[in-house]
Amino acid sequence: MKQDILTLLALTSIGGAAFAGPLHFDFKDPKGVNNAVFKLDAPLEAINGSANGISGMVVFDPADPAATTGTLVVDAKTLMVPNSVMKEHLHGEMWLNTAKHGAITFEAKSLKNVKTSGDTTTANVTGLLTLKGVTKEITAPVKFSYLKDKLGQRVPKMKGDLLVIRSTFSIKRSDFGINPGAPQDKVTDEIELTLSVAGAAPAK
Amino acid sequence: MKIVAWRSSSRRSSSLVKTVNRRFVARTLLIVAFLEAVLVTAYWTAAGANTGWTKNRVEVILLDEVTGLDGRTWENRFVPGVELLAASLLSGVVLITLAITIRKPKTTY
Repeated sequence: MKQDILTLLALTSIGGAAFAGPLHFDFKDPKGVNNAVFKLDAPLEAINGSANGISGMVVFDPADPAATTGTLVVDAKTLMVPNSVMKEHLHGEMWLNTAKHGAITFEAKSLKNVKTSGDTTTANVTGLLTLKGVTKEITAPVKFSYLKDKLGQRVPKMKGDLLVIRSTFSIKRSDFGINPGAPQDKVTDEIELTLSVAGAAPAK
Repeated sequence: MKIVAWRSSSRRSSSLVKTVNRRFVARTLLIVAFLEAVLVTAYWTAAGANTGWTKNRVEVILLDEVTGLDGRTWENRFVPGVELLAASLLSGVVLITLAITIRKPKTTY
């Protein structure tokens, strides 16, 4: 009888693991840590800024990271730079026109070169980046860190998993109509973007 | 005769006053230029010797220990840049030039 119960428990746990399936990670971070950083080279000093208005949903299966899909959204109005006048220009019509295009979105379509080691997966993600109303397909290197049962350490009294996503890639501002007339010796065409975000999948 | 002598003496006295005033103004300008350059340079250095443009907010990075991510927030803080330093030094140069011009006596032939 005791052996039967143990067998049943073992089968249940194996079955549970096998059918755990993909987890839905919500990237609306209550701690406000999630951020997207941008960098443009310019004379004297590089223009650095960041945004922390991140949201979105990513479907990640720890057993099959290659099947990861999802969308991340950056609220363009949360973009900040060290100077108020520079911020006005950045949000203005010539640059990002945040009044009209308030969201910067990336929709992941597929993953290639997927390599998993422990809880860390690296891959090249291909998806659609929409910026200032222009959508382009881009491919970027991405690193996933799956932190099982770590949600409680961040949000007390909650159980669940965390997924950390890191990615650094470059785009051309002329591709997205971001002040294409600005001379490139004053501000480079290339924008370096770094995404550092963590999503939570509360246990059901 | 007496009146002519008095007028001549008065003119010399007026010229002397003008020279003294010129020297006083020139010296004051030099002191102002020197103080401005020293104070602004000291302020710029104390505020972090920022070799970039002037900032009115600064990014503060806080590590999230669970995820290992760097959380970024912005703090309102004025940090003078090189353009402020350059403007102050330039105005110092202008004041010194003005002081030299004022102090220099007019030569008549």
